[in-house]
Amino acid sequence: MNRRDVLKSSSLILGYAITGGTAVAVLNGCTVDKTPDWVPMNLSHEQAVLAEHLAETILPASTSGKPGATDAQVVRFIDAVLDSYAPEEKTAFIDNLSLFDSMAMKKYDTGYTQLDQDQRLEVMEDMMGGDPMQRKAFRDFRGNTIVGFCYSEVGAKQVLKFDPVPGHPYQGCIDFEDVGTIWSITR
Amino acid sequence: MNFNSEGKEEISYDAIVVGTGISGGWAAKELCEKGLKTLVLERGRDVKHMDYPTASLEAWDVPRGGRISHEEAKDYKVQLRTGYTVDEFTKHWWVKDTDQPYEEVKPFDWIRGYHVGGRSLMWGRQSYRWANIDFEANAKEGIAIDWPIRYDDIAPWYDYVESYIGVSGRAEGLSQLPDGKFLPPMQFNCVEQHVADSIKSNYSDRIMTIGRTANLTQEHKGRGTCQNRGRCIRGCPFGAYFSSQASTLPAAYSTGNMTLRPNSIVTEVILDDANQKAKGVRIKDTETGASYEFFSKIVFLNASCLGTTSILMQSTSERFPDGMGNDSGQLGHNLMDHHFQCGASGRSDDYKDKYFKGRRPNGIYVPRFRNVDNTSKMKDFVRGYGYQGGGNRSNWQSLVGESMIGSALQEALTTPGDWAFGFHGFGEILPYYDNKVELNRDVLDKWGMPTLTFDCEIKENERAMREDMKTQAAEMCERAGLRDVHPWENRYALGLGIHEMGTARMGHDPKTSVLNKWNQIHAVKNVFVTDGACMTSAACVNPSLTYMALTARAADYAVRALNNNEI
Ligand SMILES: Cc1cc2nc3c(=O)[nH]c(=O)nc-3n(C[C@H](O)[C@H](O)[C@H](O)COP(=O)(O)OP(=O)(O)OC[C@H]3O[C@@H](n4cnc5c(N)ncnc54)[C@H](O)[C@@H]3O)c2cc1C
Ligand code: SF4
Repeated sequence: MNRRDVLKSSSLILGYAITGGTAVAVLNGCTVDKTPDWVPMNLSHEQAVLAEHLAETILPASTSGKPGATDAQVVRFIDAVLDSYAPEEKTAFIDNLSLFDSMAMKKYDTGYTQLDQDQRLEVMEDMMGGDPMQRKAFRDFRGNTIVGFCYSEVGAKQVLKFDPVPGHPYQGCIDFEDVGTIWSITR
Repeated sequence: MNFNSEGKEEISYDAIVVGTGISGGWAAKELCEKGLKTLVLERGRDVKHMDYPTASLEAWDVPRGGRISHEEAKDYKVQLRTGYTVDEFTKHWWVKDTDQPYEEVKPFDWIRGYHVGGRSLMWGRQSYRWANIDFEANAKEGIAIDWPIRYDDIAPWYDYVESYIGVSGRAEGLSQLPDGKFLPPMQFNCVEQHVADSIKSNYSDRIMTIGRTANLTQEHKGRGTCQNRGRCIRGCPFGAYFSSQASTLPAAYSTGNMTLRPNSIVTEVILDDANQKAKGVRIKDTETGASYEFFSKIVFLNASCLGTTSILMQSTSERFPDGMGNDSGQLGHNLMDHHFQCGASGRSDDYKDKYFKGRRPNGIYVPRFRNVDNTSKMKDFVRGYGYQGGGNRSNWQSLVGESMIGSALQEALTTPGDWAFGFHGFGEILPYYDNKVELNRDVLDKWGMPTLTFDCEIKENERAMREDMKTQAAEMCERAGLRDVHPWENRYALGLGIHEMGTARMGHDPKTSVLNKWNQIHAVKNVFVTDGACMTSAACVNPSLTYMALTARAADYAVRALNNNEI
């Protein structure tokens, strides 16, 4: 749902025009889809489920409790970012998702989402070392997973270090220990 | 809008300023402060200071993490050629190329935005003085025509504008890059300090200094200190970099003498046949499509190099069939820029336990070292180049192209990569008569105005310089002990440097130039051009500080001349 839809639908459901405060909350909270009834714009429901599992294999939540791709709703970024692709690139990216499933079928005779963790990693390894199409499918998906994660609020604030206003002066040579992780903001 | 006692829009002023960008903001401030009732005309919409809708948005606040959609990108085909300027955070600052197309006999990248503040909102803020060798070069080498001014003519005006806008930097005592009135310099980071030290011990002909930038390293004239957000291009809530909004326009406004009229495309300067002076300008209101005339004693054209050139070309009359002030036939010729997209980079194995804090809106600078004296003369090219660039420590972005996954990737995400360092050359382009822009009356833009046709390219001198730019950059990286040293060169077409200039040049002689030493049109003495169009050569440093100084100088002269009834 985009912002306008949220505003429209909530005012319809609630039966009254949104007052200032509510409108601000909706505007601030929902610029990227966070509603539970999220509907992908470019992926089918099945593709979105597959993509969510692929992303979590690439960037899993850690045992120590650090969030992973699912926590960061990376699939929503991937679905949305496809609108920045030329139509033929978009189609290729989406079509290539099925290559992960084919690889799973070939090796284990079942779809990717049915595999256990080790099998998933195996499939990823095989894609990584596969034919040019498979390698491309892997690379493109992996790249979007990383970008989507680091551009998410969860990734930026819980795994990386978020510092919107670093302050004066710029310090060009401090101990890494004092920061401990990478800055999230790149622009 | 100014209304007179009958409630009608005022139509007569002491001065008219066209454009509110870097140079127009300065013209407005100076003329208003000197007591002239000034009408400031701007083709774009109004943007007030703090009117920066994306200044504090994060990647998750905007669609696609900030990438522009494929559909919308169709409107910005040229503006996207920089690769860094148009995204969800900045798209509202750029012209839609579909609104104002232009023809490229040879490629030209015309990167621009139409709104109050012009490109002062998006500029890179690097601010360097010209030196005497720059003003003397044409005469000494017999290239094009001589500049009608020298460094001494402009030096006090550099002092004046630097003191007002605030430029941070380090004094280095170089004759080829004069020092300015600096606020405290920003810091190098570890790898930059390392490279600077290496240059110092390996070379006697060059140094590396911190960039001189119009970002405030301390509070200045009511504006705040830079907080190192690195998001200047979106507009700064602290007013910590120079823009017309944060600096010159408020000053002009506070005099009570300024009337700012946005949404007003100046279509021509109107000539008064009786006395061969301009009597005012004609505009088209972009909201209503209606035309109006406004009158004044003097006109300052600051619509940017190509905007001003278009206006002059459109201002035809019996006296000036080829465009106002174009007796010399030079209008639209000698188009210049700075050539770049060429340099070298490398990685460091050191400082693994070091990091940085802040997104410093500034880099390094290696001032020109070629052809600055007899010992630095080059055989295969004249003039020179400087390097911008800098060092940083790579982050998660460098992982995108790799292949690790799972917990290894999770771990790598929080570990910084190598320190990397790069030099990026910016070189002088000579004024070539055949590098030109013409008015195309057959193809009209969204507002019904003629469009432009570009025909220009870099030539042998620039190509030879680029080879040296690459080689020297790589050598300095090697000597600093960097590894994976990679000399590189990308596509460059004129315009991409976003320093377009030269199409209505200054000179001594009306037969070979459009403007005189006071930026006055030789033949129409009450019209002043003080944007990039006025430049007689390009030097190799970023030009906007020079436009500001020339503007303040010309405004000072104009008001004196006006008071003495000379114009
Ligand atoms: C991304 C970027 C980085 C840059 N980095 C640097 C840098 O580091 N250092 C540096 O020195 N320079 C830099 N520049 C260049 C700098 O922005 C320009 O040199 C400077 O803005 C030129 O000032 P100006 O007043 O001539 O034109 P502009 O700032 O472009 O302003 C012109 C104004 O005139 C208006 N206008 C145009 N036509 C008309 C008309 N017909 N009627 C009414 N109004 C009109 C426009 O809408 C605009 O507001 C950079 C530019 C960009 C885009
Ligand atoms: S880097 Fe400095 S000047 Fe630029 S936007 Fe941030 S605080 Fe403002």
